[in-house]
Amino acid sequence: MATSKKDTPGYIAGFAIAVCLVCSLGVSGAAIFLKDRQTENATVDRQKKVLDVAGLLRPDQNLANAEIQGLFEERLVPQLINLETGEPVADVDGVGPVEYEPMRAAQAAGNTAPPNEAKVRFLPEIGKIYYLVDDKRAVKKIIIPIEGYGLWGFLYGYLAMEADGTTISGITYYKHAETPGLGGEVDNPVWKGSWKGKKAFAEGSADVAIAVVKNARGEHQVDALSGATITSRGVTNMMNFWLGEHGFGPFLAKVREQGPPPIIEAASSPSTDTPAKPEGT
Amino acid sequence: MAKKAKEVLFDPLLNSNPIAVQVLGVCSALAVTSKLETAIVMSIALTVVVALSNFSISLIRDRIPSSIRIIVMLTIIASLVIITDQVLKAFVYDVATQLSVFVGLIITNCIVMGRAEAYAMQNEPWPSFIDGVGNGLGYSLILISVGFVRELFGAGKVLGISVMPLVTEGGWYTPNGLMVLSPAAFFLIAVAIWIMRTINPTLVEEK
Repeated sequence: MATSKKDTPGYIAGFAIAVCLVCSLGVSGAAIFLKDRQTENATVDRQKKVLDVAGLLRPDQNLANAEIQGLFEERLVPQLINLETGEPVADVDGVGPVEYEPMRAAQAAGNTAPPNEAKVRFLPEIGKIYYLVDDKRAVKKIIIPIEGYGLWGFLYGYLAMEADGTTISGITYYKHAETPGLGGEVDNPVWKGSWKGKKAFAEGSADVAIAVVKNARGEHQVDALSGATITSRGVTNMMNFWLGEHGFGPFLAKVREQGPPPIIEAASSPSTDTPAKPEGT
Repeated sequence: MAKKAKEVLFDPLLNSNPIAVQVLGVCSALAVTSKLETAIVMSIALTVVVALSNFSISLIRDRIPSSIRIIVMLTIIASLVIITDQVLKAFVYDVATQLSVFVGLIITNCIVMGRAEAYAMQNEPWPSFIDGVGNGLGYSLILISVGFVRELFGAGKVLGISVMPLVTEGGWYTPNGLMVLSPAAFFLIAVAIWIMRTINPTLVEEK
């Protein structure tokens, strides 16, 4: 059989290029058109989790993206904390608390974390927390980010504490890959509820006392997830790390002594005529 | 013609169901069926991808050089899958994060490649499209039934709404832990195959 025009190398190469061009046009078109929506979704999803851990949102409540953003901006104030000294700072190299992404900054700067059981790889110098404020902008709760290794991968979430710096008022994870029904029960509202009122630190000391254990009793223990020993241990490890000396330990120690430091209000607009003044340095 | 289109559409639901009869695409059927919602979204995503890939491959089937036809199919399928994934992330973000890697794995789902090679390369675009929809629906039928049973008995819920209140939440139902694990899907798919073969004995292989 004579080779048809379809089998000549030139035709094959041309055809392959044409297919690739058409396909890449489609893919990049979709990526560009949908990008804004996707980033908005990801941001709102994080904000939703913060609102949820702050107790402002029931998980079954369905709010539109704009409502979530409104509520978030009204009641939650991001603050930057120097992890080593525990002092609040106004900005990091001119980047304000809203835009600053601690973990991304740590990774970019290559600040590796000290060896730790939570397997956290990068540790920023400046961390970011949220204050939950009331109408008079008095600090009601402190929300700190937590992350650490579970069974299959990293769990990322938030821990909410009362303004006394030790009483836990809530926990939530916004991203994890634990087994549904076992480790995935970190999302179970009943288990999350069991954290409420527990004390993170031993009385009058900086030692992290909160632990996830079997047959929990007392104010420092939370019941382990059944069938998920490793995930439960991972949760304990990340508590030890983020509440400990390398994490938010120094800051929380100050909070326990003197109450939460006053809110450093972010510059209202990114105008350059009023340079952000560094405080507490 | 009308009768034929109907056959093309409904045949894959029971008589040549891609999962239960052709035993293709089982991997994703295990992974995304622990909840009904993810199963439904996955079904829709796969149906759209099979239908569109069948349609577009059939459209250019006479021009595809046979020496590179597999790679051409894969390129088209992969592009469609990426677009689907992007759309899911933009419109149903929560579900998209739960489906995570599995939407991407539609690329390697044998149903899509199988239909492209077996049907779209020999048939007109329109019947190919119908064939894609039919196979997608056949996949959906199994996925949604498995998802329904797993969520009901594994978590006492249907679409996240509590049907049998759990002991841990003050109810009476102790969830079946096996149901939330992947092997449960194997058992359920096996049961589905058993039922289909009982209804239609011609599916049973000759000894």
